Amino acid sequence: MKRARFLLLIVLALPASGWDRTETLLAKAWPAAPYAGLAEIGSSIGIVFSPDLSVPGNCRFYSALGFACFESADWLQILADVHAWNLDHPGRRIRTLILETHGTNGHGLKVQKGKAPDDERSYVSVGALQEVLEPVGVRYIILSACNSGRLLRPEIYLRLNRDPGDKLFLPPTRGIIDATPEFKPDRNAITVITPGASHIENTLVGALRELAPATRSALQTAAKKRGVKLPKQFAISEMLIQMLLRDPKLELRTGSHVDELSKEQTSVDTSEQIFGTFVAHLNFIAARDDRATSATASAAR
Amino acid sequence: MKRTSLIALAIFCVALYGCASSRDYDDTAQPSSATIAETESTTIASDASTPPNLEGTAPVTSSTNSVTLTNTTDTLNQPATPTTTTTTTTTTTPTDQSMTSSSTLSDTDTTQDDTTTTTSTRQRMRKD
Repeated sequence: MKRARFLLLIVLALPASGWDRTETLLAKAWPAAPYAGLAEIGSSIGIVFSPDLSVPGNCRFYSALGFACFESADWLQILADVHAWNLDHPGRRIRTLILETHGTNGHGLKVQKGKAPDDERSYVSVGALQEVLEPVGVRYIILSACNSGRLLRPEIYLRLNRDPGDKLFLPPTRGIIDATPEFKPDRNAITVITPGASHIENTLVGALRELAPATRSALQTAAKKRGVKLPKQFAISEMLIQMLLRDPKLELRTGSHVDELSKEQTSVDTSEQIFGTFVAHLNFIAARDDRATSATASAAR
Repeated sequence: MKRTSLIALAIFCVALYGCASSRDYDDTAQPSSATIAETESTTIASDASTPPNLEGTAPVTSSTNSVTLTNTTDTLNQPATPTTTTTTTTTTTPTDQSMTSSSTLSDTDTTQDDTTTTTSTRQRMRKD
């Protein structure tokens, strides 16, 4: 009888370990800062864009929000820039790197300028990212690419397959980066995080004009603080928005891979709803900060 | 005696729940990997003797891609500002469908102060 009660308790307790997994991962990779102003939203977060998933001046938008932003079709350049950033900005080191790149149907992380065969394009394996980025203090890599779970398959974790037989695997005109034979994943300090479900991820394009005037004004101030000029448009992924807003529908995981290829994609309406929450969030922060500034000014008089 | 057993059972249950929840904090290892302390040293990257493996171009069948961007229209009704309309249309033949969105983004900012009305069919880019 006692053993039965014990087993029952175990069965009841087990599900709790899964419910808060996403929340726990996010708390560690991107700690919530509920009172951060617009200029500090991306503090200690790096973000990498494939050029064809971006818009002109996109990184200036993220710089204004406090992110360290990188955009290139050459992974070697990106990794060198991340190294340089962490060495040059000891007070704003990147601890978490979010990859807004292609997943090539789960055959490799791809950055490219376009889809013509001779466009600039390069690939990197997940193991290589861990190997190169650990020494400069990166501790979390979040894969916001399509079919991210397939990128963790053991057969391509360290070295990518050069001929996966997939039309999305276009010529690597700027090379492929693999982990070195000496690399040992079990001794690496970086945690790789993927969406809970492997599916098609989307990046959305928004216009600054969609933000409230007060928000645009606050962004201008933030951009001036960072020494950048705001672009007219910005690109943002649904997953980034969901992480920023701690969307309970978002599921993240680590430590496992998937084999099957998914073609599942969010609906247009869902995309629009997600984008709307981002706009509302920025508008709220700007309004809150504006009110706080006004109150401080009134008190000083 | 029964009450003692029940109390002990309750304490045990709470402790077990806590253990199960906190277990997630360690559940971050990679496939066949384990997260190690941040202070542990490594000798891999930035080491000129072990540069990342670079490989050149692999032959892949050429493809033509499709991007259709239409009608980006911005209308400002501010008295001093003229209406601006920009239309961009690019059409090629798709093969990989990795970017398949048509975009119509139109904003009407009537005062450029506090009233902003936006209707849009947003450009979506697939990260495949």
